[in-house]
Amino acid sequence: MILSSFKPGFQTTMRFESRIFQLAKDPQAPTDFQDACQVDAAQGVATVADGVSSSLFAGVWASILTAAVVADPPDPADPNAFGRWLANRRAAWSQQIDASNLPWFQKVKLKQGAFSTLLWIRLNPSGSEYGMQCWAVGDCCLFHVRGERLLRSFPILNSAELDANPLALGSLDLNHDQYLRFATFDDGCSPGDTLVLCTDALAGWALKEYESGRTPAWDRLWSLSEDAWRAEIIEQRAAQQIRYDDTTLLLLRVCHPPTTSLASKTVPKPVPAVVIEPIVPTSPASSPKTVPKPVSAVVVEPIVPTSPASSPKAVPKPVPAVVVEPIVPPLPPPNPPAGLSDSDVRRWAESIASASEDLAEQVSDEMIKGMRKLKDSLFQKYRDNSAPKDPKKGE
Amino acid sequence: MSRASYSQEINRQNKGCFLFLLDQSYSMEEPLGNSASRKCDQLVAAINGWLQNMAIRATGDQGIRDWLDVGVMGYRTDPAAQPIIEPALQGPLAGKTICSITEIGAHPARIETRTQYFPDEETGQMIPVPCETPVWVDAKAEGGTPMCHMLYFAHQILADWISRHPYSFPPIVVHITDGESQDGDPIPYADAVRSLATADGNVLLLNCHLSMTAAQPFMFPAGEEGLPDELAKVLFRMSSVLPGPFLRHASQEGLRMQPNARGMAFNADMVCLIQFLNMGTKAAPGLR
Repeated sequence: MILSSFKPGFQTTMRFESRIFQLAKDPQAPTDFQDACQVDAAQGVATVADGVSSSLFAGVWASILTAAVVADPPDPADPNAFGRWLANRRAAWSQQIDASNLPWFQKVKLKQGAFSTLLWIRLNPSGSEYGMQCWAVGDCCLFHVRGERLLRSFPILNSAELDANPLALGSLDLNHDQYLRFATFDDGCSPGDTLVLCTDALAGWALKEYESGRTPAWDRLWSLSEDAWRAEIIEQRAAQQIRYDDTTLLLLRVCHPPTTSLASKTVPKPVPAVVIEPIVPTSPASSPKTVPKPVSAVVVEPIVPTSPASSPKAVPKPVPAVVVEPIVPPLPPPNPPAGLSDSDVRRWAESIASASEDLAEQVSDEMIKGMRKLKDSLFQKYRDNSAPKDPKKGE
Repeated sequence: MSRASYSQEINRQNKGCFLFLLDQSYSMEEPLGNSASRKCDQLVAAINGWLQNMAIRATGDQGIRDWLDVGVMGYRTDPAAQPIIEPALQGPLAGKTICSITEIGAHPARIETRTQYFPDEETGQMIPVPCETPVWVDAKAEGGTPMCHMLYFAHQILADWISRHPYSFPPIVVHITDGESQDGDPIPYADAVRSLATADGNVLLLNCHLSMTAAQPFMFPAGEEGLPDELAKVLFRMSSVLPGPFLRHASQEGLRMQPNARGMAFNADMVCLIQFLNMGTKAAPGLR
């Protein structure tokens, strides 16, 4: 349980300790890997990104994004500033790609650019604890764990959500940025807490574990060698317990803030107000009914005019606290096959239109899910607020 | 713990396999329903488009990922009514029964520059855009329809592939024809093809019938009742019952399917054909 390297009360300038585990979807082709992650323990920043492997040069894009999160932290709350940040990253990606010698299949794909999901957290000392701010676009996941308890799963709350195409940041400005939404929360964490950042394959495994009433043994993973961890993932893939996909696991163990007095601060505070109950469904199958209700509303920020020139007015109003689901498919519909007459092209267009209808259906499904979550979280909030406070009001 | 069937993800360790069986008989000269083009031209346009899309979909930073084998076979007869069963890929891959998607992407027979039309985002006008379009398969239409011979040959190809990929998602066979078998009852041959299996399930045989007339298409029927003629019933009996993942995918796509729906389309036009091809592709795990 206690990490060999983690000493309660140990003073350090590091805000957390970290371990990084990564495995390519094909272990025989380790360079064909589109995940990326970065940590800066002194600044208290950690980030993971999952390049969409069906897009081209997505690994480069994911690396550019994570490096930039650490070197030049973005502020999605300021759409104009974020637009500039993203434009700079896009320029960096384009500079790294030599499009002159690509074969036909890559040329076609390059026009769509690369896509990547992105999640990052930032810890700021606040007395004996930390303020923790987290942002996410897409389905990289954070688990906030204290002892055996899962305090929060963010932004994905149940494994079924991972079936949908995630929202992702594109390396080209394809006029889709108005659909981008960041999920975010602002909360606290205590020394000794474990923060798990991971890409979607591992998140799917972990969520299914929680949904089955089991608790992933994060502490045990902490003590594994990288090779032993990889061997375990390969076994789990063969047993279909985890998807064949690039897999990244970033384990953080929160240290004591530098100013913490040793005597009084070795015991972490009890559970903060916002608690996600351990996920214990009645049946092992993950169905919406068995999934716990999100307790804390996830605040959603609209993003992003991509050019600094865009006026703030152009930014859509924030959607009320709903968990954001993917809206934009990472890739536009395929081109019609060649050699067709105009009428055939029209029919192709129709078939693409039907694909858009499917997408619309997906979106509406996701919106319904989101509204349900909103309702649940509002009810929960109402219960949380009203139940204990009523007696006080009466006084 | 026993695994669910048809759940093996398709990836480089567990490659997938698509085998297309194309009717190249003389009647494919006729126009396809709702169209002025010949059935054989429409068919190869759909197949070339499918190959192009699959190659693009498999494309990564280092080229095309080797996660899928594809065979395209044509069948017809010669003037002496002898069956001709041969690989339909042209160019550098001519003569190969099964190729990886990596080879297919790297070796089209030729790349044609064609004009495609895209709507202008601001004006809505269709603007012509020259596009490099790879071609692998050319249209052919001659002789008869030796369907039994084709299925017999397909059985050999698939048995060999399965012996090399025993744990993969089972091969998906897409057979596209416009008429009835002229070398016997194809049902036993189809049964034999469907009886082949990997550890993940039986071979899926999907049959698509192209129509010259703009008749009502039947997509993925669950029973013989209501099918218009004997040919439709034969194709129905030849076709696999679609497994769970396909039904789930179909319902996500907004297609209503009965529980025992079969992988069959009758009186298909171009739209149906493309829908049919996509159906086979999208439901396979990992190929999305």
